[in-house]
Amino acid sequence: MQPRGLEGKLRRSVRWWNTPAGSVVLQISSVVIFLIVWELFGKVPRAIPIPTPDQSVRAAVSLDPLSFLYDCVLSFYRVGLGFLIAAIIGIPLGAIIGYSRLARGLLFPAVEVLRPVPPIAWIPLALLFFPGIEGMILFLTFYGAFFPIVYNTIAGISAIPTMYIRAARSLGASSWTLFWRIMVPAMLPSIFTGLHIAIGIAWLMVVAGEMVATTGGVGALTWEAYQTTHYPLIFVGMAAIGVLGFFSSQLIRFIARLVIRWDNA
Amino acid sequence: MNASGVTIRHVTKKYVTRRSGEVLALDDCSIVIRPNEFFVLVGPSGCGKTTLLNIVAGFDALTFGDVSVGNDLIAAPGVISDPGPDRMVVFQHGGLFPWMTVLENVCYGPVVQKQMTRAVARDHARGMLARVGLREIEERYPGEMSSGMRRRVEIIRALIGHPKVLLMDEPFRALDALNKSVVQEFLLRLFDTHACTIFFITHDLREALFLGDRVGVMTTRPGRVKTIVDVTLARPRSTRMLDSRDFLGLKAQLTEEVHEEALKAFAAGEREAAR
Amino acid sequence: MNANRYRRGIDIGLSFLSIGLLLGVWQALVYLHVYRFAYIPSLPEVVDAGRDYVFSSDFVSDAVASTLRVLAAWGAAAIIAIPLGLAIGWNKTFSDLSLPTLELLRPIPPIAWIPAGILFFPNVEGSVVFICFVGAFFPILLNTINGVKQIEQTHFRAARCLGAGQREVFRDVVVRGAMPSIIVGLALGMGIAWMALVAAEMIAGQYGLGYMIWRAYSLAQYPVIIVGMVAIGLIGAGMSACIRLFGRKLTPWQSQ
Repeated sequence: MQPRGLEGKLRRSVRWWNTPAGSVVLQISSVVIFLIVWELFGKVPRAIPIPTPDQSVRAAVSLDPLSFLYDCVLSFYRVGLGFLIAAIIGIPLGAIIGYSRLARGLLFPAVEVLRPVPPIAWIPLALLFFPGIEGMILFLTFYGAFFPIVYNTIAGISAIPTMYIRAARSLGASSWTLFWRIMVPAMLPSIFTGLHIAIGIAWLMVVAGEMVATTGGVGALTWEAYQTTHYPLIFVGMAAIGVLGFFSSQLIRFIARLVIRWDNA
Repeated sequence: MNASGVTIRHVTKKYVTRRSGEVLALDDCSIVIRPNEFFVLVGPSGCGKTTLLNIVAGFDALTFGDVSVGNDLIAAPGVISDPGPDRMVVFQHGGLFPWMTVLENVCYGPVVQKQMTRAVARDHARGMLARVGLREIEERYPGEMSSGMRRRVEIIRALIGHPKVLLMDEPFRALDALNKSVVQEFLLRLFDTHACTIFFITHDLREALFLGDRVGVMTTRPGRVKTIVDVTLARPRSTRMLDSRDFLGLKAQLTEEVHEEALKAFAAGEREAAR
Repeated sequence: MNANRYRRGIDIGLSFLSIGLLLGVWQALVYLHVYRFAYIPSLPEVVDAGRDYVFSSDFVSDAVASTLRVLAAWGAAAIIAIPLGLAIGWNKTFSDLSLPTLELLRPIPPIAWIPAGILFFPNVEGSVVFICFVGAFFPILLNTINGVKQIEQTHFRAARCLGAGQREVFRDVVVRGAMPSIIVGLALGMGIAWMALVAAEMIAGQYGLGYMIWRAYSLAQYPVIIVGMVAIGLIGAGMSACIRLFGRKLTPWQSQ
């Protein structure tokens, strides 16, 4: 298709690649070209050749499916648990900070001071503090997910139009109904934005934690593949991380659509 | 460029939507706009007024019929000429570039068409802005002005290149009543002093009669030209005319024509929303 | 006016109280040996270590190395991702050809690239910069694409009406219209690059601030870990602030 804003020229010359079918062909060829380029990179002679796509597929096939599945489930469970705890603490905390001026003054600066330190930098301290690996990884996923959830909840509550609240008040809503029927629905889209970002960061954190701890999970799988020189397996691990991460964020999106039925976006 | 007439002959537009299949948006519309005429088209929302304007502007293709501006064929089946400075559009939601100052916006056309160097264009634009009393805002960004002010600047930007025809797509829709009458008078003064042809779209009948030489009424979808009313009010016009007997008589006549279509459009809209 | 100043005073007071409470709770937990908090260094220990460490040549070279790595990676990501994003956002054919592959790679977090990065590059420097690059690349790319897509059709049409050709539309509408969003992407990209840097240095580095906190952990210099975390936070925040400041200069029409 022609660049946007050039509608005039657009209709005069419709080439095959501008048609919907042509677009699909281009999109497929994009991935095919990527795989070919990757394959060619693998052919470049160097000390350690880069594993090619077909080597990676063979490595994936040769994996013990049960232990691979176990790694996936383990990582997913670690992400899910940390994420849930972050949501359970983060959403009410964000709501309180957004709702009450006093709570904002008292709690927000403490959150702000901690925020610039990337959650990854907490790894050494977490290793020190937690007696076991599970506790450390759980802390990391929790901590990574926590800030986006808190911040987006605060943003959601401060973006509620005053009109809604006044309308509800003048219709005689009690503060209970005002909260549950007006404020919660109004801030849900923003909360889900936060959850969406949070699950991405939780995946990043679990991979970092597992690479450091190397006790199961897809992050450990990837790192151990490198350490034990099973290089093609690195890409299998990365693909697994990508697919699981994508699946989790689609899950959040799906839940958001179920919960927020009035917003088609 | 000199102001030219616009000839719209038997223009028909069909398009296909996923929801309701083939839609006939315009059905055999013919309008002849004379050079230096202020032609206003009114009709209920969704009647295809904007589609017609987009066809003239070169944003949209037609299915049947043809459009010419002056002696140039603009659109015919399979023919569509690129949008260009001969048919300048003033947009419904405002078309000023928010990232350019007023002066940069006004200069943009002459500079980008390489008609003038930047320095000459700046002087020219300054002169034009000064004549209409907008000189003091030339360094402001559109985001820093009221919407009425933005509309005025956009009209100046459109007129500075002397288009053959000025296409205005409900440009004052978003303005409040007070602002609206100020900008309308601003446009009338410019129309009185500059030679230009204007094709103006609105659904505000008062606005249509206050501004136009002739007012065309469109039917609800499929859009057809139902009738054309001659506005027999002398120029220059002023807001005092809005209470004159002539004006009120014309308005009553036009209201009757449009109201029938509005009712049909309302019913059609309800049917569509229910689907 | 007076009421405003009064409110501001209260807010500042509360901020101090808030941060004081955070530090106080930390100290209380450490000194009262709650659970395993005895392992965590206390504030005085951290301050002592910080005084020794901040003026050491080690710290300066670590900080400089990390900053240079992140700037190189972020700069390279910007140079590649901004033109790519502009092209993808503007041209459907280009988008069809490149976006599917990029979408395929996007869900893989930068940290997961660490082993591959070490494999790709013969030296540590290259792999650390590569991992930061991956971190910065996608936020910049996606924000650029979105920036172009969010430009109203009216602006394209207005430019065409005023006589702009394809090149001028690109220069005056696409690039400038996407600018605010590009700057958001640059700031986000810096944040993620900085995070990826810490991870890469911890796992693969031989110096740099991420490596420093890891070494402090291995050598049981626990207060130094917190000194390093503070340094990482401060430098990261400083760089984000610079980008925001620079961004405001580039987009003077964005009033806020």
